[in-house]
Amino acid sequence: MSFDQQCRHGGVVLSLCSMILLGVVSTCDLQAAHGVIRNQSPGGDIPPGMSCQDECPGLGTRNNDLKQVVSPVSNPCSDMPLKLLLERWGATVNFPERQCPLWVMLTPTHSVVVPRQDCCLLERQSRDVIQQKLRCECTSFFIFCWSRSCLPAGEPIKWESVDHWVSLPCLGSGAAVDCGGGTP
Amino acid sequence: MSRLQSSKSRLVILISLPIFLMLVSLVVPINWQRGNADTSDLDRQYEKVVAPLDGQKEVKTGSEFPQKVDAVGTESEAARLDQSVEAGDPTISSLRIGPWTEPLRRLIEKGKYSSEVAAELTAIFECQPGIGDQLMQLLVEGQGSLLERRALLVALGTALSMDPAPPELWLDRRGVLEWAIELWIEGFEDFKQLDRWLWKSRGVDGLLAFAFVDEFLSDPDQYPPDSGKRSRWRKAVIEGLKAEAEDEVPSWLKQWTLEWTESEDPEFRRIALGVMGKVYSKSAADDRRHLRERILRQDLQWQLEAGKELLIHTEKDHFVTVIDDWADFFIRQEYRGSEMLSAFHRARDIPLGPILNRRGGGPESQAYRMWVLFGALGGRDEAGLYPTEWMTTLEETVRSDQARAVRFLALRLCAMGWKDRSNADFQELVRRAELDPVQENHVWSLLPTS
Repeated sequence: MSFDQQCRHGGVVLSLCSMILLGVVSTCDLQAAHGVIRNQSPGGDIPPGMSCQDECPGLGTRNNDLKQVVSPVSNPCSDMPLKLLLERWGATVNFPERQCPLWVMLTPTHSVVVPRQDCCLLERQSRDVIQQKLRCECTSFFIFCWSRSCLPAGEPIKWESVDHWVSLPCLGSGAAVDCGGGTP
Repeated sequence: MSRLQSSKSRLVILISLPIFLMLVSLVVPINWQRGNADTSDLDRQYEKVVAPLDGQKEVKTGSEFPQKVDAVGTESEAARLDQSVEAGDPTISSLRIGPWTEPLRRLIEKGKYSSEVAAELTAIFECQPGIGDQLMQLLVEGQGSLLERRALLVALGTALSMDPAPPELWLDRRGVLEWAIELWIEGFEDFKQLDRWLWKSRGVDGLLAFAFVDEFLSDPDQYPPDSGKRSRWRKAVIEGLKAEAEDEVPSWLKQWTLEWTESEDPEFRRIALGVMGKVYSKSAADDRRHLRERILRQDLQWQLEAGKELLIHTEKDHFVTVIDDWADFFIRQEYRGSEMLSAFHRARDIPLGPILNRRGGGPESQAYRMWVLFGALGGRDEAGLYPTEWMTTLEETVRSDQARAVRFLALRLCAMGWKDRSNADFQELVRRAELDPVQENHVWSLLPTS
């Protein structure tokens, strides 16, 4: 699945896609993270009775798109937020900052097991869920920060792993059976 | 307020401003920035502005007026702006000269290196009566360097946000506010960051929201689906309606939120979606139950979006109630998103222990405990620390929860917030967690010092 396709999934208030659009994280910065996301390793044996070696178990896969969760706390980007006290009138004015979260947690695209007729499980892989810390750099300052870059800080760390399953049509079911439901 | 009334407001501004300026220029000493300009120059410049204002569309097409952009806040746009700062000479001004010229120049000089510009803004607000309207006018004229236009926007946004405002700041604050939001919705470049101030401004209310709804209904083609203009229009409507629920929810807003939740028009359902979090958070138990029933009659994707909206707006007083009502739904949908972390972050004053153990410590509530623990990840502050009670609860969970998966998750959370505490203490905690060797290695890798 391409990154564009992953972006179309969207839906999260501050999705990574919108972060990119808003300049929170640049696309090239993400490529490094994607290298980590795509790291995968064999995840162990398939439980008995589920594999393609067995009688057709009726198990396929459903694709879960890339998912990102961001910290509720933002980076203290230079000179944001700005708070002005106009003393003469006792008025306080806040300039809400554009967000650059402290970190983003990325769950890679992976397929989970679902009941699906004429399908079996061929392989199980392990994919890393990573947490990437972010730092903020103001790129255009005038009274406050008008634009900024939100960049990866340090190496991503593994938070947990998720299983990614690969499914196939059972022997004799015909190649037309879609067992992955869009699995990459 | 209808478009007609809105136009009337603008007409009042336009008629009154030239007279006003003439009077002010007689009594207020003007600091000329670059030599003197005779009044005929000023009049000619002013005519350029007044002429197209009969129809707003004409204003937007004039080359001297702000350029329209497709999206707000994109990186490319920001980069383009930055390039224009470098390319243009910010010292050369084509801004119309007036009593604002010198204080605006001082704001620009200070603002290049400092955020402490309250004194400079105060000087602008005092340079002439009705300066709020004048700032709007100058910004619409689209003259001046980028820094001048940014300074004008900061001053205008600040003026709109001030509460209380200086007594002579505005001639027609309401008219200016409505006009500014219209230009923001249209996507004009010089107004694109106005939303930094808009939604906290007095006057963004239900009346304004319905004025924009009226405009939409009178000509929906002006707001193409999925366009930036449509989404900005929707944002303005939602923010106006939400402002009505600041203290308590008026009955008309409850009723309309319920009705729009089931509207056949997807646009009204989207508006209901944007409002319901605030309405739910501020409503009594019966009203929350009604709204929840309506939400659960919608398709699954919409239910999930509604659930996220509830989390975004849940205040800490209602946090436990929302968790009670919605945790099972979120667990079924395998939802663990940013909105959940934000809700937990806002509830940092509430003890975590009673929430975590609300459904007991047995296997039947393991999924609930896992879900709450994931939410607790949002409890860290800027320094990466949890509230004291939360850390104590997490450590206690590591030591005593029946389920290894729960202990493992709690220990990972502890590792993330361990900061400067001793490795020996963490070693002891890891030992008490009784994890397998792979899990133990993993939690050590999460310690900030690793």
